[in-house]
Parts: sequence; structure tokens; C-alpha cells
Amino acid sequence: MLNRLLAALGVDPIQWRVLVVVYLRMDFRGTGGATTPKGRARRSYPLANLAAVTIMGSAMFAVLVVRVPDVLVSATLLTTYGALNAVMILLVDFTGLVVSPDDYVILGARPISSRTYFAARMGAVLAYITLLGAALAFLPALFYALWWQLGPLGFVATFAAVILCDVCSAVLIVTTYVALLSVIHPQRLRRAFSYLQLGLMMTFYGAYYLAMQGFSDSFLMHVSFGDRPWMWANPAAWFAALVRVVAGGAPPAVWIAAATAAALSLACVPLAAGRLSLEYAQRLGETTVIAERPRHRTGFRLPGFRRAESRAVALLIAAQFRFDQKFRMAILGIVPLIFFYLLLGLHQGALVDPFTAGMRSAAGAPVYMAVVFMPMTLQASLQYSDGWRAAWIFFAAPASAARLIIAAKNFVAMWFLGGYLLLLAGIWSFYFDRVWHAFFHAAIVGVLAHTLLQLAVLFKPALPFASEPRRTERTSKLYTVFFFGSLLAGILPIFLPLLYERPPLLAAIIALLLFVTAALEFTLRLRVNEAIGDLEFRA
Amino acid sequence: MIETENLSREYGSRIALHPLTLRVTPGEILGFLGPNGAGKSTTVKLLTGMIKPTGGRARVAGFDVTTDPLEVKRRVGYVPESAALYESLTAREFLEVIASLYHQPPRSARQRIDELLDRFDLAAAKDQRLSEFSKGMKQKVVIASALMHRPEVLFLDEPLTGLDANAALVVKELIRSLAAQGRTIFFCSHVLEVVERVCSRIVIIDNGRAIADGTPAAIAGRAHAGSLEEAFVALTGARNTAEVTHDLLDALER
Repeated sequence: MLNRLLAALGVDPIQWRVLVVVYLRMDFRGTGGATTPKGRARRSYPLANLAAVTIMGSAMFAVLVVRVPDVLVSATLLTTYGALNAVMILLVDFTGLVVSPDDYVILGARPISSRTYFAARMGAVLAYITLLGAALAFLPALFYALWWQLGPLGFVATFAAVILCDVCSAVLIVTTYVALLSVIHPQRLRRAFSYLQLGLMMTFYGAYYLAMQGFSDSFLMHVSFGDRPWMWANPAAWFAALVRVVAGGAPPAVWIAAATAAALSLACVPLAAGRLSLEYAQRLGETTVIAERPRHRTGFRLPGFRRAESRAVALLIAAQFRFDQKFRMAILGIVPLIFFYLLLGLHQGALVDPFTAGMRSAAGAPVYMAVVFMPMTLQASLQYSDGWRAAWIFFAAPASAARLIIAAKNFVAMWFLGGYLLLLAGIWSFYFDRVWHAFFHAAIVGVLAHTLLQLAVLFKPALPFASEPRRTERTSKLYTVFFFGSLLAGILPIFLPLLYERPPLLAAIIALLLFVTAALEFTLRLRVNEAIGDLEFRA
Repeated sequence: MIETENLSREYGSRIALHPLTLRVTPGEILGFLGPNGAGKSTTVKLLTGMIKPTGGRARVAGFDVTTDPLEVKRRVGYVPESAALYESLTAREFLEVIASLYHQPPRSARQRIDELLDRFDLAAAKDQRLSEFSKGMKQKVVIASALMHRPEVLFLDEPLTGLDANAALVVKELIRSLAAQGRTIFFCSHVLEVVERVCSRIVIIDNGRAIADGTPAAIAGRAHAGSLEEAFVALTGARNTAEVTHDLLDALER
């Protein structure tokens, strides 16, 4: 039956099946890079990590299902999160997931039609999206079925709502991209898409944070679609209506919304059978033929990074920022986010002097969230590059792996974390009772963030730009840092004022922190030498 | 059979291939030579239907590359300049994928895969991932993948890259045998000695223009050169090699 359907869509079923299996198989296997002398690659399970984080999200939404009295509201939050999740995955890993430029070289001369190629890529994408949608929907579906007593039908409806919403979002994103491709040059489109990714990432982080705030907010306990009909403007709510319909006694608006969701899902089938083709990869390949006009650049001398490995790392980071669109977007994607959290945190009470503040609460946590989030995310971004094969130079040159890795960590700490903390100290100095309070507080926060960064590097040391960007790996890391960063950021504004009230304890903690930093720096060198020193390069 | 008529390709304002008219008959081995960036790979991509021409037309194995690219692709084998492979697959898996893309029945495909891997001394490594292969081994897999479906026309872009002397000899002999069977071979290379030895006819391309066409001896004669190498240097306007070497040594000692 599937064969007949594919053939009717102009897709070669044999080629489709083979390509889908290949794409999925490749996603579960690593390729080159650093290996142990016995040839064992360092294992990583990005898809499993992403699934684990999604399941954590599923647990959070299960709590929401129980707490929020309106089924439609909780289901809408669930489908909205699911859709944003799907869009994020597609945007962050788009080139790898939807169209890979490698395909052009390997498949370009093979007799594969555009439709078959598109269908295969789409099949692999939808397999991902369905898997993650199912992981997200599982616990909420269980609670709708048991807690709300919607039974097996409620369970199925929750799955259908989340998966259909995710799939439709994915199809819309892909087909929009393909439609734009026919009128815009691929390179320009890729750049434009990266900026769209930037915008959507900001929306996603903002929505995520607000959703977390929402768990403790009474707003969700009272809100309903009857009071606020504008909430129907969110298409994810139409899919959530499927769950509400199963709950029984749904008003006509819910029925209409559910019917619209079903119609939209059906409309996605011909939309998905569009015309993404190898032509995209071909055009990408063609653009690489035309060399960019070289620009004259003056010598690069960054204070603190003027010699040996540290200079090499600084030069490399600067060059990657200029030429590697993915890396540039990873950096640029963080900067506005930092400002978003900064403003949000300052608005919530981060401007209160922690030395004199009487009450202790998690107010102002977003400021600390940014402090934790930024260096860790940047450090993670520094590991991956499409040009990972060039990492042979680290293995061929008489460079110290430990120095290279520590230089990358120091670059992040000095130029990104340091810059942000200086900005913070500047703002705080206007509002705190004493200027030194501002700078002292910034320094303490900085040392803590640096310690975390050291721990992150200690946990998984990696040479800069030497790892192959595996699909979903970046997304899963982002989510992990985000999840744990949120928890940690909530502790800092409570913990630090407590410390500032007790000078002897503060002195002891500072001494301890400095000792830990020095000890970690020392351990880092040993650990890196142990973890990286005996690795061999394979490409 | 390959036939082109004023075939050309532009990338924006840059002309990668000026109108090219060419005819390569079955059984012929055409050597396609040129300096780096001359337009060799662009020509191959045009003839294999991977990119579309901006002018002129081309027919390969009896089909137009613009209107019937799939028919062309069914009949040609292509060895690209870079040994691009899905490296997380094993050699056997990769060749099975390729066989399926050409709709070869699994049973006969498996036999052919074993046969080809055996001939290329890769039988012992057939279940190893391609990422673990050496450059030469990867190149052998690429060549095997181009031969899987018994193509009528074979496009070889630097096929000997990374191969050891024995494997290179095998491939050269294979090219001659395939031509003797009546297949058309389009051979791109920078290694003039190999081209001179293997090809019955040579076309030299420079800056996207075909500047010479004929047997090695005829090209050398026309350029008033003693060998194909000298003729190539004269025709492509390369700098005097002694002068370049001197400059390089000078730079190293500075």
C-alpha cells in the first residue's frame, strides 16, 4: 500500500526506502574525528539525549495537565511547546536534517528523481519529529487518560494532537524554505534562514522561560478560551482542540478548531509532496565554486592571546566566526538572548543590592541564567564545525592539546563572560548602594560561572572545531544546558545575599573558590592530557 | 557516446565553460586535461546531468542531459574528484545502497558487490565502516560504485588519486578493457603521463575553453613541443618551472 501511495506521488518506493534507512542509520552512528588508539570513537548519543530532555519536558507537562483546570489550556501549552520544539530542531540542524550538501556529491550522478529525494529526506525528518513528539506526549496522554478519565481515546487524541501539530509545523517550515529557494539564491537564503533561526530561537527561549514562570503563576489556573478568544490565533490550539473534543461537551468553537486541525493535517500531505530536490544541494555545490573576494585584514592581536596555542585558538575562533555561518549564528544567537535575560532579570529585581537586601528570593534569576548559559553554550559551540576534518593539524603539529582546550575555555571566559560581567557591574553600580558592591558581586558571580565552565570542560574536554556536528547533538546540548542552567540560576540570588551577610563565611568561601579554581585548572590539564592526549585522528 | 554542441555554463558573471563542441565515440578513451580551475569538473558535472548548462546542448548515451537527466544517469558511471561517501556505512552497505538506487535485484547485487570488493582487495574490509578506510580504499569503493550498474559511459575525475601502484595498474587496465568492450570513457586527470599512456585522444581545456584536441603526438607537434608535458605548459601559458622552483627555494631560505 505504501509502495502504491509513493508511486502515485511520483516517488520511487525502492529508492525511497533505501535512502530513508540510510539517513536514519547514519544518525545513530558516528563517523570520523578523534578515536582511541584501539580505534574506538568517543561515544555520544545525541538523539537519546534529546529524547531524555524531551521526556523531562513530558513530565513537566504531565504536572501541568494535573494542575491546570482547563483541558484545552493545558493541551494548548503542550502542543505549542511541541511545535516550537519541532521547529527548533529543524532550524538548528536544518542542513543536516533536510538537505545535506554531501548528498549532491554522492547522489548527484545517480538516477534519483527530485521527488524521491525530497520524500526520503522528508521521511527521515518526520521519523524524528514523530519520535520526539511521541516522547513528549506520552506522560500528558497518560494523565489525560487516567487523571481526567478520558480513557484510551484521550490517550490517542493527545498523541494525535502533539504529533500532527509537530508534523504540520515541520512540513510548513520545510516547504516555506523550498518555496523561497526557487526565488532566492541558496547562499543568501541560508544566511536569511540563519537570521530567522536567530529570531525563532529568541522566541523559543523566551516562551520556555515564561512557560516555566507560568507553572507557579495563578494566571494559568483561571485562564480560558471563552474569556480570551484571541488565544485561538495560535494554530497549536486547533490541534489541542482534539483532546478537548474527546473530553466531551465541547462548544462549537472547539469542534471547528479540531476540524481545522484535521483539514490542515490533510493539506500537509500534498504540501509535503512538493518539490524539494537535489537541485538545492546542487545549487549549494555551485556556490562553492565561486570564491569569495578576499578582504584585506590587518594583523590579529588580541590581548591575552598573543602567543603559541592561545594565539592559534584566538585566530581560529575569529576566522570561524567570519566564515562559518553555523558558528556565527551560535554566537549571535546567544547575544540577544543574553540581553533578553538581562532585561528580564533586572525587571524582576536583580537591581537590588544583595549586600543590603532584606528578603531572599529567586527574583532576578534570569540575569544569573545568562551568566551560566552563555559560557557553557559558547564552549559547546566551539567544539563543532563542518570543517572538523581540518583538526588533523592539532594532531600533526607539536601543540599541546591541554593548552589548546584551555585557551578556548579562556577565550570564552575572558571575552564573552568577562564582557557580560563588566556590563552587569556597570549597570549594578548605578543601582547598588556602593559601587564596589557591584563589582564585587560581579566578580563573585564570574568566579562561580568560570568554575562551572571549568567543570563542563573537565567533564567533556574537546579540541576546538574538531568534532563533526552530528544531527540533533547541538539541540540536545542546548536543552540540557538550558534545563540545568535554569535550576542553578534560581539558587544564586538566594545563596549569595546569605553569604554577604556573614563576612567570615564570605572570606572562607572566596578562599575556597579561588582554591577550587586553581585546583580545577590543574586537574583540567591532567584530565585533558589523559582524555585527549592518547586520541588519534581519523577522518 | 558523448556529443556536445556549444555546451556552456556560467556562474553569475563568471564563465566556467565557454561553448564546447565535442564528440566522443563508443570505445574511445578521451583524456580531458587542464590546469586547476580550468573547467574540467564543471564539464563532467554538466555531462552527468548534475548541473544544468546555461547554453548549448549535450547528449550522453543517446539522451539529452537537460531534458532526460535521469536516463543519462542510469547509463553513466561517475567517479568524482573527491571520494565522497556516507562514511558511517560499511563498504558493503554503501554498495548495496547504490545497487538499490539503480534497481538491481538484491541477490545479483550482492554477488556483484562481493565480486567487485574482491577484485579491489577489499573483501576482508567489507564490513568495516568507510570512515575507517584509507584514502585509497575509499577511492576503490567509489570506483566500484561507479561500475556497479555496468555503465555505457564512464566519467572518471582523477580516478587514480590515493591508489597504490598495484591498484592504479589494475584501474588503468580496467579502463582499457572497458573501452575495448565498447564503453565510452571520459578521463580527467592532472597526471599527464597516465593520460598519455591510457587515452587515445586528448582535449586540453584552459580558462573554460578547449584549446587543443587530438592524439598526444599531434598536440605536441602542433605546439612544437617534444612531449605532451611541454605542450601542456606551452598551451596553458604556465610559468617556467625552473623559475617557480627558484622562487620557492628563495622564499624557504628567507
